[in-house]
Amino acid sequence: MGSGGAGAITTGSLLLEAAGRAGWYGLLTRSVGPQIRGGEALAMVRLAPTPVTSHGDHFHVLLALDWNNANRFIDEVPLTADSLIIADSEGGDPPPALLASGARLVTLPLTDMAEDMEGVRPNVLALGVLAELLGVPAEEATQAVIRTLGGKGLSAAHAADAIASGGQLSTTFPHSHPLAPTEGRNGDTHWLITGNEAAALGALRGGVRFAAVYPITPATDLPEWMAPRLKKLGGHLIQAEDEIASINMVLGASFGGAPSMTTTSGPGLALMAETLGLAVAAEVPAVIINVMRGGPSTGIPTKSEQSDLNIALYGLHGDAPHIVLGAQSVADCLTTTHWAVQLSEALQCPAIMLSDQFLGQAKTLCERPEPLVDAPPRRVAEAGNGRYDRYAVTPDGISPMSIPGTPDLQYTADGLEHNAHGTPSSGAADHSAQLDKRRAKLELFDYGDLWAEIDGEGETVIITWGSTSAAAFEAAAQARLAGLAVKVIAPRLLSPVQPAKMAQALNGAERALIVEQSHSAQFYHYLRAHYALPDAVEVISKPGPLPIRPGAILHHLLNRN
Amino acid sequence: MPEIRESLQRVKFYQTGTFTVGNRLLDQSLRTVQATGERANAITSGHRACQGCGEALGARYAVDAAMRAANNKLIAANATGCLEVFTTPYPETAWQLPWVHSLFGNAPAVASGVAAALRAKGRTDVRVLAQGGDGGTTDIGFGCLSGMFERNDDVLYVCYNNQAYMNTGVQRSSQTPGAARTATTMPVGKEPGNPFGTGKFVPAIAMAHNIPYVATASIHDLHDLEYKVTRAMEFHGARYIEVFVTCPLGWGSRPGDTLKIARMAVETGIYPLFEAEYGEVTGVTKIRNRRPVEDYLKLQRRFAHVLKPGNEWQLEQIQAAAEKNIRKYGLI
Repeated sequence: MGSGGAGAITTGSLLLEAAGRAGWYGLLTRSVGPQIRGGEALAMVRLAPTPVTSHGDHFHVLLALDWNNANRFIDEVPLTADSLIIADSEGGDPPPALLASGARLVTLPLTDMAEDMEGVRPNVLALGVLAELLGVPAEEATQAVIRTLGGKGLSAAHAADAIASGGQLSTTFPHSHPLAPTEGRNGDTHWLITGNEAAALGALRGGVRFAAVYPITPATDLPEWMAPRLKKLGGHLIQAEDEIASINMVLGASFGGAPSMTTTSGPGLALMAETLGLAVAAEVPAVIINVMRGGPSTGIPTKSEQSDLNIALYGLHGDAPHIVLGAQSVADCLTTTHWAVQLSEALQCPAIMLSDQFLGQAKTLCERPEPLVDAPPRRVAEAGNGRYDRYAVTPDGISPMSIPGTPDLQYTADGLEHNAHGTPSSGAADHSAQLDKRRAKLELFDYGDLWAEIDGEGETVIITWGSTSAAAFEAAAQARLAGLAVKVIAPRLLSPVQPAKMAQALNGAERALIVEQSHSAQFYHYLRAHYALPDAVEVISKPGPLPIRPGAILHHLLNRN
Repeated sequence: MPEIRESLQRVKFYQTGTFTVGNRLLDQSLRTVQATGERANAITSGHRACQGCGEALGARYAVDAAMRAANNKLIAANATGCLEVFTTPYPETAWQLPWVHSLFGNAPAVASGVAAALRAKGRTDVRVLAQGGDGGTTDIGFGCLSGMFERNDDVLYVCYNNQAYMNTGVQRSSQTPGAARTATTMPVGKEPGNPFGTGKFVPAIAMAHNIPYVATASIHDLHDLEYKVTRAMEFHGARYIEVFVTCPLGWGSRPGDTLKIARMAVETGIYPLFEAEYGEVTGVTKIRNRRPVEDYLKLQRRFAHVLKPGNEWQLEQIQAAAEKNIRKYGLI
């Protein structure tokens, strides 16, 4: 941690990169205040020889470049008596609350030493300390520094010197917590990717070729990453004048035949809600990636929460069945977004993909996600033979959609209720028929195994979703070691609901623990409304921005009362 | 054409060639808010703006001038944006007046509501100020702004124009000028920069609503900014002032060049300073020391590509736009 600009996030990123090259897996999440520049910055890194998707219950090492504003996020850095705090001797006094954990404090003259080294800032020395401490090869740390900071006046020789000097510093105090060895694996096949980048890649793989977006934290880095890549694929990204314009451009582009998407966060989704109703009524595919942040209103724009579930599920006007998905890890942002595009195109319906700040702005070292099998594309009406019934009631509810300009296949795509031909109609029969059609196409579709991630067996079941899933999987694994059989069900498909699949997954369950990051237990109420749950139901429902840690879930599982 | 007068009495300060204020050598009557003991300090020190932030400077002078004109009875509505963020970092606030954070696009509407409530209560002594950045004002908030103008609600709206969305990481706005680089501008040739022929000059659109008062101002001439805010407060109804504010972070400029860049924008003709009443221009600030646009561009990394060989056409376009402003507003 450190003041904004001190290089805390850079140090964390470099450590992650170096460890990745040497074969470890890792996760970096970040915490900053809503300032433009300066303020406080915290990079939280977890490294392991096996894939990492969540943080643990506490941190083994805390590196403080300075203590300015540290009190603002002290509760995001749980330490124990076993932890080690490394601080710059120029950085001031550590907050008493941190020392109260009993953690060992070591101060090092990072600033003093950096002053004598050309182009070297204290955080590069600190990286040398951490690399030596954890067992990450100095060579990888040096290369990471050169790749990132080489263009900023730091020569290769000076970088190597700084990492070596940092390593020397770390021999001045007793070590603890080296990383478990990587078992000889190298990191060549790892991806270093953020959730927002993964989601953008998933959209591109799904065939998205047009995006219209409006800046909003923490979603903005997604379109920024996507724009040049979309261009290479012959696509186009437009920054609109507001969220209402973005979603309507998406609607227009999709009506024109191009798979299209937008990105936003909670307040932006609220502005888009009217058009989502139109997309449902006119049966136009559209993908909306909502990177959730603390709400309501401007809320906590730079930190995570799962509290947009209700608006995603229920925020549309009228009876408007649509698709809602939740990504479960950084890598899963790719899979889930890819699937969202496939479903939206196949079902001619808007799909909301819920990510959050934790996933979107987390950087992970992971194995390459397996690409999804190609799905059938949008069903397009090919040739006209007289009357074209755009909204014909079909056995599976899906009616071929024509591309504007196709001879004899003109139709009116209308937000007014309509008959099969697309002609506006306020008649009861047409309204019922079209409502049935729009519901049936979602209910009759076979969503396969992707609907949920299900792990383990047991009479105790954790039901969770989104970014809290990783902590639940980890807690369940620990519970099994402690002798308690636990099953985890984490639905990726939140709407339409899957009662038969959930009933099968819950077969034999006697106790359910529902875990989510919202104040009003939105997920719990959703499950109650749509699914038959076991008699014994417990809920861990906490608002952001603090993540729900595996230990809290494990404690709940093992200490039933 | 209406008669165009020199809008201001120009005061030459001891710092040669500048209009820097806060001058103790001046006669009391010519001093600015900065140099008086009654200064409201409505945005107090300790906020978290970046070093060299033009918006912080502009807002401080605009709000204090409005406070003085309103006898310290002022309510402010503030759109989401840098100004809102850097003045309200948890757990602090820099505001020393009643202040409401609207959402991003609706500060004009919230301010209209405040003005309506004051009218309903018969409170003619309390005035209303709304403010936002260029994104909040001219993109997402444009519909609400136009509505406020059209109804002629009794609100002074001040837009601090730094020509992009800075607090989300420098994305383009409808005020981003041609050739300027942002995180989301499309490439022009090999260089990333905003396309030419775009942009929205909202002061002219405000004038088309025939509202009582419209003005542009720049932070290099705070005396002029204070005058225009004070003048605006003499009117009732909808008023609009756009302040040109340098952003070192988003423009890639040295914090120490903040005022210089703002001055160059005016002296090259890139940003015209004028005031208008009921849709007609009533005063312009003449360019004293005309400069080529390179003098403005070379101070900012967002335009670095424009000055490279092969991009002369971009430079010519920018120069042509500046000359059009000079002709259109009679700046020399």
